[in-house]
Amino acid sequence: MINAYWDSIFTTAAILAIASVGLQITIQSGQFSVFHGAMMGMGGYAAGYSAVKYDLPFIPGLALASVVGAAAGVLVSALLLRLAGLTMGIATLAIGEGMVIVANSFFPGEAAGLIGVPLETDFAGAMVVLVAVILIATRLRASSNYVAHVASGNDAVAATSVGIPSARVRLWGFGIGGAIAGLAGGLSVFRLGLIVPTDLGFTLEVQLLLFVIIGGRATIWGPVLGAFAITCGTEGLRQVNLDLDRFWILGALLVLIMLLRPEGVLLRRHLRFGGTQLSALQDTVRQVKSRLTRAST
Amino acid sequence: MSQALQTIVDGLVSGSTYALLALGFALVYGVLGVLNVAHADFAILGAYIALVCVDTFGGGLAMALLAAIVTGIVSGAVLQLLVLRRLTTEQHLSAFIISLGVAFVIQYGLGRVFGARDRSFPSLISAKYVELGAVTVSYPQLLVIGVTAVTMVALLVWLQKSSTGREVRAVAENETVASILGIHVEKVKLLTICIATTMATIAGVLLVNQTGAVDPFLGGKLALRMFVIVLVAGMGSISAPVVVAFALGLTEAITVVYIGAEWQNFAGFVVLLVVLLLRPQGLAGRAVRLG
Repeated sequence: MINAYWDSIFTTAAILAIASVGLQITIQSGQFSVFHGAMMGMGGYAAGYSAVKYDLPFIPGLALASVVGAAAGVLVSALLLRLAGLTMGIATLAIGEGMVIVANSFFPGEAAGLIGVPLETDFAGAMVVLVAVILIATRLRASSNYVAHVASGNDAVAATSVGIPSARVRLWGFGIGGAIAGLAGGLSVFRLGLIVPTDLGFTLEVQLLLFVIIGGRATIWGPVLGAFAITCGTEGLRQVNLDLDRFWILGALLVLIMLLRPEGVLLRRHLRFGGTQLSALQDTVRQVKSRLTRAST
Repeated sequence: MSQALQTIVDGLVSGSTYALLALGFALVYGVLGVLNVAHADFAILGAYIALVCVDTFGGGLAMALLAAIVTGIVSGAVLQLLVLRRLTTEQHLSAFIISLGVAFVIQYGLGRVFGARDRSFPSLISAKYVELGAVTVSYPQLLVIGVTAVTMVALLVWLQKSSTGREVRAVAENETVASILGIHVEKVKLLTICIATTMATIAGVLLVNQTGAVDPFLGGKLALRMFVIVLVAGMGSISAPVVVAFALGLTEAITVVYIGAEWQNFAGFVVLLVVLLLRPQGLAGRAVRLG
């Protein structure tokens, strides 16, 4: 790698990219989650705590983090099954912040932070996991379950009416997204050697959302690129001594991105979007053909 | 017995702040359909601006409240005219995401300008105490309760009795029909959001005057309670959040006294979980379908 400093930045970006892929999966199942940062944190705490208290090694620690994230995701999804999109967003935000409170209350004495976790994650390791996660997400998209996934996301009632078990799809969506987020959290705690309650909070949530929104929901590599671009970009800001400004700039960026896409809500747009120039061309060809056929009869 | 009464009074004080914030939040949701996550951050923005004005220009309570009101009106107008107006009413999710961004901008912007640590807020009115029987209430606390009560009553009366209030209620009920009936919907929305943010900034100034300290991220902590309140009360109701807000204030006060101060933040969270389990649409909310 270039040097230790940028190595660290890229590793952070890779970890955030992993979590963003998870967030994208959850949002596509129709559940707007402001909770993935919290699941990262929960996975991280689980792995970190086990490493410190029980000497749990790196790989099992990651597995544990993943399981914790998945469990949290499924629980929250089940709890919020009867809520609609917007209310769900607020509820996940509230529960996420609640997790910060829990972390503050349950780990007293060490100033609510957990330290002393062995440093295991490096850039290569993070990239391996990122590639693995991207492959998993790609498999999900190629699978027959994907249609159910997106259909539930678009309109759960309509999906249910054609036989798609929307509730179960949502649980899976949050479960898988949570597993990935938890994994990212585990990587993070083994990278920094510590974790603090604010790591579960609002700041992280908004960052992840920004990556997914900028990256778009049509592709998997969108959020990944978004994560890298913005993380490295904000580090660049730090180079030019604007580092105190980087967070409100992120917020402003989020607002601008949402405004400059007046089509707005990502869900429907991207399903219709569906792909590339090629399919648009195919549609045009089909239309022309049908017009010609009608004209000749 | 006297401790119980004192607890109730303390609960009323914090409940008042929550109620004023929750009312504005619910109003914006009802009329504009926007869940403004940054609502509580406007309150803190108002507090900081008031702090600056009092430091620069002197003057006490009147200056602070004036600063708060101006900040409220200006921020509401900016938010509506520059940002929200560009969204259509179906784009609820976009507005929500935008408000997340705005919250970020305000919190970290304030942190950038004023520093992330606590700033102490000067006492705007005398810090004397009043003894009402067994209960002790400070003047700042009385101010919170008093101003909140007056503001809420005034707002509710205005909504019910005045013609503009009727227009606001009409837009909240059905924007399209309201516009067909000749109501100038954009003006109503602008008015509503300015009123709501002004209520927030006033609440912010009063709160900070009472606690004596302010930091840029206080809005986030208040926001959590606001979300709990509207989720428990049910989205779409305007009067229910007020009741729930006071209930939350009382619950927190009781928790502090009888369970332990460190569990105070937890109280609201537990209530939220219970309500989500038993009645997810909230107490006064309509049952919402999947999707």
